[in-house]
Amino acid sequence: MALSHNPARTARQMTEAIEEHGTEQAVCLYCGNTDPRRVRPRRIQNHHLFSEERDEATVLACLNCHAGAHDALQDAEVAMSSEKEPTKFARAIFRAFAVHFEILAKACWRFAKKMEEKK
Amino acid sequence: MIHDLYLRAHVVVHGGNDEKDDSARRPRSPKVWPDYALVWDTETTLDLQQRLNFGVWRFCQLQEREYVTIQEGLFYRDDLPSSDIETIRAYKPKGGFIQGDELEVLSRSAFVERVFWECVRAGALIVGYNLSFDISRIAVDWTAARNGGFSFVLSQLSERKLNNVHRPRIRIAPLNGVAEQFELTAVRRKNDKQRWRRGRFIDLHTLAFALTDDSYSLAGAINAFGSRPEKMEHEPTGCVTEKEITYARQDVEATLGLLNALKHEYELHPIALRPDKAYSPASIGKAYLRAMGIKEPMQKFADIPPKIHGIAMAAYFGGRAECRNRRWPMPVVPVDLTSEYPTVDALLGIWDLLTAERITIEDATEDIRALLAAVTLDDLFEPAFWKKLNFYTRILPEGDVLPVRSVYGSKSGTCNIGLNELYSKQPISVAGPDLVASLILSGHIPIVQEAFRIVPHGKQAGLQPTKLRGAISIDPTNEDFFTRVIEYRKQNKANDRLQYFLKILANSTSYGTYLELNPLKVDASKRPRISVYSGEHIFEQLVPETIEQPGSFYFPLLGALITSGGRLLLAMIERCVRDATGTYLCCDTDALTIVASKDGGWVELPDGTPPPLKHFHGRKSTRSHIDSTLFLHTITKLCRTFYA
Repeated sequence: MALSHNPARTARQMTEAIEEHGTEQAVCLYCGNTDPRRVRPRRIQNHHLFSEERDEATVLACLNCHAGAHDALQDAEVAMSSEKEPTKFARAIFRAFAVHFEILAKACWRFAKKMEEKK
Repeated sequence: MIHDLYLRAHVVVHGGNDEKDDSARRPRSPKVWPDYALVWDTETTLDLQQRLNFGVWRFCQLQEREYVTIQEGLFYRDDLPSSDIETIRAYKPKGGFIQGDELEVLSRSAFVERVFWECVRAGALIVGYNLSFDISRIAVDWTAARNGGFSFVLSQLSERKLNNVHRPRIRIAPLNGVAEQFELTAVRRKNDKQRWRRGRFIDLHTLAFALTDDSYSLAGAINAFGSRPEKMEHEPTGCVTEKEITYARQDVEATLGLLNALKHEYELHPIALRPDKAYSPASIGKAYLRAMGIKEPMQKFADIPPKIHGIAMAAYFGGRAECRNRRWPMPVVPVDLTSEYPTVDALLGIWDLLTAERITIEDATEDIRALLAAVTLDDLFEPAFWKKLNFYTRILPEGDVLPVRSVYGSKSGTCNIGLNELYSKQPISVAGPDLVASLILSGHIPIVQEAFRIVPHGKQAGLQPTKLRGAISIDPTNEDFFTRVIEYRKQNKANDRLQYFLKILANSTSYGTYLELNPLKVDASKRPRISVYSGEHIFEQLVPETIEQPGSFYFPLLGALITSGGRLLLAMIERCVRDATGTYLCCDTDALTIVASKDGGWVELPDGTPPPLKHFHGRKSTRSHIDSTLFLHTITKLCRTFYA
């Protein structure tokens, strides 16, 4: 597994993957994700785009993608607790939006590439 | 004078934690040295508060045999002035960075969340030198912990300043003068608890102490273990400057070098003990006993009734320490016993007892009475005779010179142990060597009511040879461990580190291990009943607030006998001095300081008192006109005397 920009987090994910699956090379059966860092028992969850405290808007995400989305939110300094100050609140909403669209964009690129490979 | 005697006791807890099988709750055994380590240090202000200024960390990965840095970073106090933050962000070292073009710079809260907790959950070693100080510097809140230490909060919810219940607290409790125990408290969500159990904290100060029995500064430890780089010469200013950051980075690099050096040293020992659990030389000693396959005596000899342990505990006293002459300078010759407790172990055959398949308690009342009637000082210089001394007795003291725990001075009100001529209407328990020591000092043959011997049978299964520090083979089945360790130490005088380790190993396994009792605070709502055994006294009561939890090799039958043997050796020296019409200044456990001039002859007292005075003063007689007025009836009655 390649080290991300946060090797401590990668180390934690590897440790968890090995502890939960006995191997670093666990494969998600449904989405085909071979990255074991976020593979957990298959379940679909509601992912609160802006954290539950700020807004009720949700999208469905598997545990893997859910964890990834929360990592990205954390990297973007979007805390799970809501802010009282309106400007800070708005900043968090915009950042969370950006994270959401970045993940979507990556998924779109990946789907497009897959389709090209099939040709 | 009438005194209350204070006796130690053996305690059995009914329905306490020690009777629960918690093996199911324990996580899988992790690697001795995990794959990752977080080495870090903090720099603080120099005022009384010592607030965090900034810190440096290195995230390291184990590559082959050493931890290698894969990321380095800085963090700063959340409310550090912006100018100081700019200084940190603008920092560019001359030698460049380990990875990339810049250091990872985070606020304290971001460091805790993105690095510290991630490392804890990754099972990485959290490494520091005097780690508890650094943890307290990055804490945002604290409370006093039940076990006498502190509980530190590292994470709070950002806006509300509420403690984050999804992150554990770090509980730090002192274990001894050097080591602390680090624990993570439970988190709110049950599913997350397992992940936090991976947290492993290692204070290199403690590890260096466990390996050497010395308390080093960082620079001292680096010097002792020859690690590189050395600590930078710099006096901290409490400010945030480029030089201060360079110094902090160098400190962390030096700490990493020391970690690797200690790891190499630790790996010489063929023991399964995790380094973060090595709190003292005794931890290493116990790990060696386990490596030789020695089973924990309380489990192996479970058929020994608790009453017998109660008799041993009632007869247990620590090393003898007293001052006999004071307030006058006088010439002395110190006499020191080589490896006293290992020697006593070898003489009393403690290894045979420890490695026996089973032991039995056999009545020996007549045998002991006959032995006491015939024993002489010369007999005690025959090593084989000592094998007869592994017994306990119940006697009626009639002026026997015995160790007594009592409150001697009304001012302090604390208990002390003194060697006294004791009279008692109630019988007391005494270990064999103490009884013989009394006999050679007082000449009085004790009135023995009852006596029993400890008899070993066979050798336990599963004993296996090991190599001490990877160099010296020892076979626990056919060799006396204590004798061999003392002999190997003598043979390896040229190898400083090895012979010093052998000394530490011999001392750490020879006595304290068998009487290890750790204070433990008991939850007031869950106080079980306990049975208390002390000599002939047995009673039940509720557990008090604090209970002494036995260590894994706790076995008072051995421990009380060993310290008793140490006091017999001192008594032998005292008797020899007395027979030569001399006296001693003081004694402490394994050493006695004899009053004697360099060239022999009488030692004159500074107040001009002419010799000769009385040859020997009984323990009751007043020894000093000063002390007789200050300390009536105390055991430290002193004398003006003289010596050849």
